[in-house]
Amino acid sequence: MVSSTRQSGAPVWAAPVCLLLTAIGIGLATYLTIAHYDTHIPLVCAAKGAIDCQAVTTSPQSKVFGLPVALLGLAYFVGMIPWNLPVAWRSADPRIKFGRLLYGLSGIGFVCYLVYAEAVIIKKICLWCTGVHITTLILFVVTVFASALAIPHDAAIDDDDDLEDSDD
Amino acid sequence: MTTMTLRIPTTKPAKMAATERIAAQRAAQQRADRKRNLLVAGGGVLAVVLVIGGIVFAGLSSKKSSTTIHPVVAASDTVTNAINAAVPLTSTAPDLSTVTGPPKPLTGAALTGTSGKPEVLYIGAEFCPYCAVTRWPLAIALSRFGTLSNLQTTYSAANDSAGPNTPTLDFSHATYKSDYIDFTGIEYEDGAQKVIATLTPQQASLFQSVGGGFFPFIDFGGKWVQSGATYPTATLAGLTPDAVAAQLTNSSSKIGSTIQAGANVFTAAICSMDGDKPASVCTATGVAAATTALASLAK
Repeated sequence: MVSSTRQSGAPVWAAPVCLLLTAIGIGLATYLTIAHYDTHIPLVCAAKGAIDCQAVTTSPQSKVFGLPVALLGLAYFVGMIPWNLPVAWRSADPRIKFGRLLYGLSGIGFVCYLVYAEAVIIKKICLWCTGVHITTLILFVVTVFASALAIPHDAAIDDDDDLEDSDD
Repeated sequence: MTTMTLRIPTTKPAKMAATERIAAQRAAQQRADRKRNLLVAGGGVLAVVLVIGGIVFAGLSSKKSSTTIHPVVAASDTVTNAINAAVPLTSTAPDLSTVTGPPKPLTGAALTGTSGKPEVLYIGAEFCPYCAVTRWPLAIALSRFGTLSNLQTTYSAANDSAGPNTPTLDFSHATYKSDYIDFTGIEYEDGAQKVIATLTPQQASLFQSVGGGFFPFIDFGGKWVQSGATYPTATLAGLTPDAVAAQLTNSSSKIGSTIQAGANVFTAAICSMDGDKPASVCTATGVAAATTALASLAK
């Protein structure tokens, strides 16, 4: 009898790529959060045409339920870390796989709202915010495809069991 | 007669063949699962991208149909008289904690104008609500060092949600004479964000490298830079230029005290670039307080 370990079958690049994107997201969201709370630190951002970071970050839509959107973004990316640890990607537990996907989907849903707020309500685009949105989108796409490629399997197979299966 | 039953044991090669067959079946199943999953994933991602693209397209489409340009007209006597009346009001000590983005110190080369005097370079835009609120204190501060003429008034763009229809001055045709400093006022874009001015290579370089390309940009002689509004655009919401002018000398009103405080900050920045001249301006209570506050930022 050989003991077997259930593996997620996720690509080996899934964890490092997702953690890298999470780190980028944390960096961008941290900058936006600092700029939000410290008005003496203006965002380095050109204001030409539709691009105007200050218009976006000081708009009524920059807060949701009284919380700065930048802070929510930071919390989202920090919360993404445990989902993307190598041990989490190796796990075949469907709760982790689908939990990660739902978490990413919630982020994308929020990004859709923020893009709507920028493009339709405020009519200004914040480049730093767009960077966060793109990072979130890429992270979601990578998560979705890595999850699609992840077919759970046993790391070690008991030969006798296999033969019994074949006889059936 | 004895019958014999031949029992064929499961041999090692047979086990291996079965294992390989199972492995092949599982591999085929996994390939099929992956293919199905990838199709679902691709569809989901495509749907997300289409939703986001649709939102952006909707935003861009609605923007084109709602652009409004306010006329730029000569400043009324009410406005020019109020600015002149606010010039001597230098007693309001500014509270920099309430000033969004107060000037920041610069360490580069000094900026001089065409006459060789230290130069205040302003680059703004007529649509820009942050420029709209910033021009008022700047006009008062400049008027303490010289004569600002041919001022005009207008409003920020109606469709700019950061501060629609904010009443303001306009520097695009302004002229300035001073014994102490030069002033260059550029309105780079009109109310519809169409470029209406040309920057020299040096101005463009400063605007981008020092000001980050942000309207408004004010370079005080290479000593200080103001990038962004000095107070919230909502302060002037719903007013006309004449209504703002009527509040300029009222130090007890929010509008008057806010603009006077901003003017003292700008005055202090100008004093630092022209050697604290004239002394009557640069040693005034509010200006001296602003100088001290700015000095703390420079540390």
